Amino acid sequence: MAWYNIPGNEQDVVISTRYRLSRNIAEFPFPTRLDAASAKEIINRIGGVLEANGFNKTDFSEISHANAYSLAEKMYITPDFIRESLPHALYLNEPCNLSAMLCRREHIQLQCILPGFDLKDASSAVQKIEELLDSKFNFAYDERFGYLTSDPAYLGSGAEISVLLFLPALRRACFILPLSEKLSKCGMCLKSFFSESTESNIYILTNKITDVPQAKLVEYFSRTVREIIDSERAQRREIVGEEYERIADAATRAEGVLRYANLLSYSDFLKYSAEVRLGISLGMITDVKTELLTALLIESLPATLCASGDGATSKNRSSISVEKERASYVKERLTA
Amino acid sequence: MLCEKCKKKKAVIYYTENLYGELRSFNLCTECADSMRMSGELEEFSAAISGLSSEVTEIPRALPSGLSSLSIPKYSPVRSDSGIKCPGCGIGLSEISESRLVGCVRCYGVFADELSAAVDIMNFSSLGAARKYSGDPPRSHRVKLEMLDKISKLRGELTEAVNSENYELCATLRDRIRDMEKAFAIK
Ligand SMILES: [Zn+2]
Ligand SMILES: [Zn+2]
Repeated sequence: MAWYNIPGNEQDVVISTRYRLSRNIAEFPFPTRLDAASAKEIINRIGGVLEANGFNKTDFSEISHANAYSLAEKMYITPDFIRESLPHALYLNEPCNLSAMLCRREHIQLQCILPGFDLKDASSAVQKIEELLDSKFNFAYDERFGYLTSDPAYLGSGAEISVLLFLPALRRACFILPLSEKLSKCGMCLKSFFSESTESNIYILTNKITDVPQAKLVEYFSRTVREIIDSERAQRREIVGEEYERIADAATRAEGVLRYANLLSYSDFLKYSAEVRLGISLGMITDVKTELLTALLIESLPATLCASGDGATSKNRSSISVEKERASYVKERLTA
Repeated sequence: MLCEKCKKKKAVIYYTENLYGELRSFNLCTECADSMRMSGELEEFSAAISGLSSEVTEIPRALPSGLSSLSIPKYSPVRSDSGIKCPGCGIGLSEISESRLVGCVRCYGVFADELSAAVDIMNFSSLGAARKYSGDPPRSHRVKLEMLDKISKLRGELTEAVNSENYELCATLRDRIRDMEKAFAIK
């Protein structure tokens, strides 16, 4: 089962945890200056090792547009990877939630994405594959800079952590801004995840520091996430009396919209599912599960929606037909 | 906010490829969005990527969250490009500034000053005060260090053997050093 269909740890606050490592092979220029033949050679050599370890290759020239973007919506790849002009390939090990983008900005970008908060497992899954590759390839490395990358932002350990957080109570209390200022002083960055819809109350926390051992970074990052989880929960407990009643009313109304709407845009879905999500964690809503909302967060994105429904490849889908399809899909999943 | 296509009408944020913040908002007025959809240039989910119009495909390449604001000033070519090109990949400083991507491993030697200034500001801060990478090295590097260490020990022994005129030992040591260096070069 894909990561977004599995209940995660601390899922009342944390939606997902992703750990990614960037590595390059020393003998080749970085992808910006790489020729097609060398790119193919890298893909074949690295890909061969990955295939021997449960990964499957995805060739973007062989899958539909919707399927390609669906992989991005599921967060296995970045959307820009699809239109990369150099030969490139995705290797996916879906049962282990591992994926590797070969020849994107770096030769290798290996990642694990897990539901909820699970940084230990995500990082060790990635490190295991990285060690295996390390024993077979000569990684670009320098004592001063650490692992050498095409994008200097990853220099050092090449590690990139991102955690999606659901912080409605901290936002209600106007704590997001001071929190993000504090985090930025600690070498982390907290930003709204859906820039067009702050109503989703979903934020992304990433690391900016890459010059420390991975174990130390994981420990430091985990401690910070724990603190954020605690303060979000503390703020939720502050919701009482009249305010509680108003939020309960909004949550049940939102559940009604998700269950009965005939048209549902993605930003509407974000808004209403956020209210339902909060309602579940405050005990107001009991017939919807948090993990279902996380699944829908991915599955009702347009490409995934189209790829799973019929008529997947029709090019001129109007937005109304997508909204219709989304509404009926959400309805179906909620009643199932 | 104005539509990024016609630059006249008020835009709604039409669709955002917002997966881990890597491609961001995409502002179109409803009419432009509709006409593009009719012509097949725009699919709801791939607006940012498959749009054929140049205005539409010009999505800024995003840096990892939070780094962009810090890294821009250091990368902008304040000092004029000296014209030096990396012998490894042929890239110059102005191209690096523009794409914010380095071409190859050797670039880090050629443009060490410029790049290390940028790196200090970006990712080598708060936690590691040393301003030098203090994380885990790759296995190949650990092996290399051990190998270099062994070779230098053997060289010491060789010098001693030469001084004590133990020619038989000299020959064995020379062979061992040569073998190790050969193995090293292959790796
Ligand atoms: Zn317009
Ligand atoms: Zn170079």
